[in-house]
Amino acid sequence: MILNSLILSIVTFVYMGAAVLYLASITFKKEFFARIGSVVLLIGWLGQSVGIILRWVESYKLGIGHAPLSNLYESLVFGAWAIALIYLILEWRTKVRSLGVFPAACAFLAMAYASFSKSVESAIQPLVPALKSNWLIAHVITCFLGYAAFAVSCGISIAYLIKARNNPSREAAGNKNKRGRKPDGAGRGIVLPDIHTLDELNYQTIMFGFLLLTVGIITGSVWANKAWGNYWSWDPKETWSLITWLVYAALLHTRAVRGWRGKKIAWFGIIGFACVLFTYFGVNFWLSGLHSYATK
Amino acid sequence: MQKVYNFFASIKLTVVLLLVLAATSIFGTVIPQDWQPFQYQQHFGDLGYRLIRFFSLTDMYHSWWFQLLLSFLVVNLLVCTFKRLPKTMKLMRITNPTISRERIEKMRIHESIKSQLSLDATLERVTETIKKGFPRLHVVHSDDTFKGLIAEKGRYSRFAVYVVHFSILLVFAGALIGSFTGFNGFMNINEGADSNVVVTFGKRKMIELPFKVRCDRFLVSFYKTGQPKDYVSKLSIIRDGRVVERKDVRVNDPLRYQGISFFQANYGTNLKGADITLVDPKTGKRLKVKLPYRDVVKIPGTLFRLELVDFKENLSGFGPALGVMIFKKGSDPTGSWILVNFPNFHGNLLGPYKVSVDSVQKRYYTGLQVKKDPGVWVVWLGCTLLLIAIALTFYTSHRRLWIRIEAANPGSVVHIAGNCSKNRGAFKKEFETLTRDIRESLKKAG
Ligand code: HEM
Repeated sequence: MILNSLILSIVTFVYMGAAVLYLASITFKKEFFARIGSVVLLIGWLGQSVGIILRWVESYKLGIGHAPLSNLYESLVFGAWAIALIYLILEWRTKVRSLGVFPAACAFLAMAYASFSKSVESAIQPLVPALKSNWLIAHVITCFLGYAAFAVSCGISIAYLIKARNNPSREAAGNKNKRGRKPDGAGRGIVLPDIHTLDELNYQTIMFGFLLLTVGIITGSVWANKAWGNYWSWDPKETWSLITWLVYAALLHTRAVRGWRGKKIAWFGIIGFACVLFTYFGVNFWLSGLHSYATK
Repeated sequence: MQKVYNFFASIKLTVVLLLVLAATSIFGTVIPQDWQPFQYQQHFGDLGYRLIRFFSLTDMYHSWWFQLLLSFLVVNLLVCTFKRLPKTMKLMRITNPTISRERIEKMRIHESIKSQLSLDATLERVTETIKKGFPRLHVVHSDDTFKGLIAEKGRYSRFAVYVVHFSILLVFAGALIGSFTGFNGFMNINEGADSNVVVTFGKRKMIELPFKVRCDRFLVSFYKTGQPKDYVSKLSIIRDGRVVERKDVRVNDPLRYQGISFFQANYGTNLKGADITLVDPKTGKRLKVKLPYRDVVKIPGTLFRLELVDFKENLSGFGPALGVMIFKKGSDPTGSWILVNFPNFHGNLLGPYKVSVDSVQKRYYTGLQVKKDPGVWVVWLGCTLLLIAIALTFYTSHRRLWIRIEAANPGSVVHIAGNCSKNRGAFKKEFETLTRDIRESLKKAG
């Protein structure tokens, strides 16, 4: 096995370890496990960074050098990397360690699918001419950072719904007027932060994701315009990224102008992430178009 | 009228429109947009096809109802802006500058700080500390008993969301300009040939360019796997018989001339000519003839003429074949398929002659996508503004401090409150740091 693939397969298990540790920490209500989980996740992320760089170098040694972002395998790997990165930044900035289960599990699943599914080709492949573009690199990176933020937001939304169910009397029923009540941070002993913090974190994460998705869609159009002469051609992948964008735009409006909070936003966040998943997997597997190179 | 206005002034409508656009867009990703009618019929059945046609789902993003939804969004956006902009302008100004103690204490973020210094000295310290973070400082009240200050920053942050919406309108405007004054089509040019005719996609209209495009060379290279690695068309623009522009066009690197772009889209080969040998079965005489594609050629010493009109890569499993017509004065022209790989095939006949093919010459043609879009700069302008404005909307806010410094005996008291247009969490932290700084600065001086 080539070195980069070996490293990336090992990273898969490191991410699994991190997910299990985070899960243990909220199941047994021990911060301790989450602390180890963070360290393990960080180690996995660093290892993955090395793996990705090695793969990049190897592609140059093969004489077909390109950034490792060009097929399904490479994009899954990059997706996992981006989720771990966004989550680690969130954790570092907020010191909240209890939201790691979902992102770590997502990173693990993406890596596991990339490394062990027979249908995902992991060899480094040459690029067809249309894909040789710096705009394309910018497009893939920004889109995936956006998707990763939405994955993290989905995790926060799920945490919110769990938390809100566990102390229903303290639920701010998605209504501005009821904001400002102080819930008891302890809840029923789970180390999850209180629902207002969760709601705020969710919003921050979604704003970041929305901004990056916007950059991603725009850089994608610039690339398409350069390569194909059309900045927008309603290809299924493009259209689905627009659908995702519209759903999150609707979410931002309900929150900013209509004052929706809490559960409604959490459900919105989950639906938004479902759109992201469909944009990524559904379009590749069921719909065809310009981007179907990614299935090979 | 009022009803219509209220309908369009509602953000509920915005949310509904955004979601309806999202939901309906799904149809166009599930139903292919470029099929022939019979393909829809085969795939979706008769009723399915009728429904698809009724709702214009074969080209739904250009259908009347989708465009109507988009125009609703535009009207919605304009009316909301019209309704809200005056209110926002008002929020940007300070309309009520009275700074009473009740007012400060009613605000959610507020604090009081004792100072040993005199009223004026305290004022000086406070302004000095605040000025770094809040450069717009107004002294709204000043007498011997108290000083009233308002300090603010990020006023224009309130404006950013209007720029977001304006840039969306710009993108729409750019797209409209493009669709009304531009075109998008293709031209295939043989290596060595030129053309000035573009056929548009969709409606297949012919557009004549005011200049000719010549393909001087076409080159393609391959990876070891057989995938094309790079392909290049060496193009010249010819105007009034003179070459005015030359460029090697590749994927991702088009030629642009007078607002028209030529993109490398695809390529292929077609027939250039063939060398054949005719055998007269009576005399056994052999004749070599060169046939350029679509040129009528006389067979020397006879009354027959030949024209090479067609080529098939694989004719009914017999491999490549040439389509050749034979003409003779006084009789109808006839045509035959001449098999390239089977020189003894009994059907390799043209008039009285047996035919074998010596060589087939092919040439590349380059497939260019030709596009004129005068609106594209408006779209990019809109996109750039959109990005900047979204970032400003999300990450800046209008923050204000309301400060009342009262004379006390001895020293003075600073009552300070703050409010912000969004992201109160971050502002609260900033406020705490600020009050700590003020406290320290007052202490140091004392
Ligand atoms: C087309 C119809 C639209 C209408 C009528 C509309 C209307 C509004 C209004 C009235 C606000 C609140 C401004 C305020 O805070 O006073 C707003 C906020 C906003 N709108 Fe729109 N909008 C539309 C479409 C969009 C779209 C397509 C986007 C996508 C980028 C968008 C992005 C935003 C953002 C980012 C905010 C600010 C949210 C925040 O404060 O966090 N809007 N919109």
